[in-house]
Amino acid sequence: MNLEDRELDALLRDVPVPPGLHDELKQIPDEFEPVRLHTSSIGSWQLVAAIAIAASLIGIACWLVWPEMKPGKLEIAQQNVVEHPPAQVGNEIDWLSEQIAELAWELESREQLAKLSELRQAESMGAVALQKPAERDALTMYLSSEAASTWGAGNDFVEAEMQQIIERYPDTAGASRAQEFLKQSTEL
Amino acid sequence: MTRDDQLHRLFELAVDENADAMFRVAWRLTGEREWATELVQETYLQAWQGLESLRDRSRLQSWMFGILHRQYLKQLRRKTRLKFSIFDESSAAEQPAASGEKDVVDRREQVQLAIEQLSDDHRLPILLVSMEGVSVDEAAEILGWPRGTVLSRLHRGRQRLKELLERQIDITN
Repeated sequence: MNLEDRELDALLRDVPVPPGLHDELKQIPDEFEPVRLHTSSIGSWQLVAAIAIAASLIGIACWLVWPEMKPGKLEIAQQNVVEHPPAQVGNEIDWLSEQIAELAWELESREQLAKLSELRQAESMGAVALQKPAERDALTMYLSSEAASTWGAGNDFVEAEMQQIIERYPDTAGASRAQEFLKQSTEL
Repeated sequence: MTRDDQLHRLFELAVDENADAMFRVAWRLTGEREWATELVQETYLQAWQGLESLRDRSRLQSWMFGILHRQYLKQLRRKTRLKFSIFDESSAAEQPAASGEKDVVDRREQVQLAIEQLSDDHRLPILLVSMEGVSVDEAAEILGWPRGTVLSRLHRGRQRLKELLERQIDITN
């Protein structure tokens, strides 16, 4: 049998969309709000690292832009960034801590202990990272680069950032994650 | 209308106009209903959180396909990829095997199996350009490939997909 082009296209499009998908998606704005930070105005890596780690734990996007980056490299992230003075950053951390506590409670109530353990492990990793400057900076840079990748930064840029983490902060958790990221990107 | 109202309205438009296309592409990429739904939800979450960064709103669909593509690659890195039949137990339960529908289900499964045999390099341009009508230039931008690469992979992918489907249909008949 010979398939015509239009028959092939019709076959491809024949996918039943789940009922209720639109309604479910439309609830997203009621449940999630973006968190935007500008690190150059904060001037504290420790706070930024804490927020980045907390944000990644609860699965929200955290826009990070730091002074070492050349203008334009992260143009998507830099648009419409709200600058938080340090006092407000403290509030953000409080808010994020509440979210984590809430999430942990939900996980426990659902008896998803494996996830809870993963969460706690990541939390302690964050705590360790904050005590060691190289660990802290490597992890922050990794999380930011991963976020940049999600937001549409080019592969070349993200890969160069990952490479820089490996070279600048060898033997850190951030470098291992960067290495893993590059390995998997190559495999894909 | 406030800025927030505008963003909410734009997001609703993104759902109304693009959610079906996003789901079709997600399903064809993952071959799994649950994963496809998760991928679409994550895409819309990312889109909502970054909606303010969208400069040209006429490019909403290709911007969203870009997020979907990056989310797919990200999730692929994290998951051990398992091959599922297009209709897993839950979807089979929703669609009881009425005799008249069996052929449709079989045909969908054949198409999905053929698509899964293609590499992502060949599959992605087919899904974007052939299935969803995205222009070759936009697909090149979404995928980060040169235009010529999109065209050649699209051509080769379609040829291969046709061969696979024709063979399957001949066997079935």
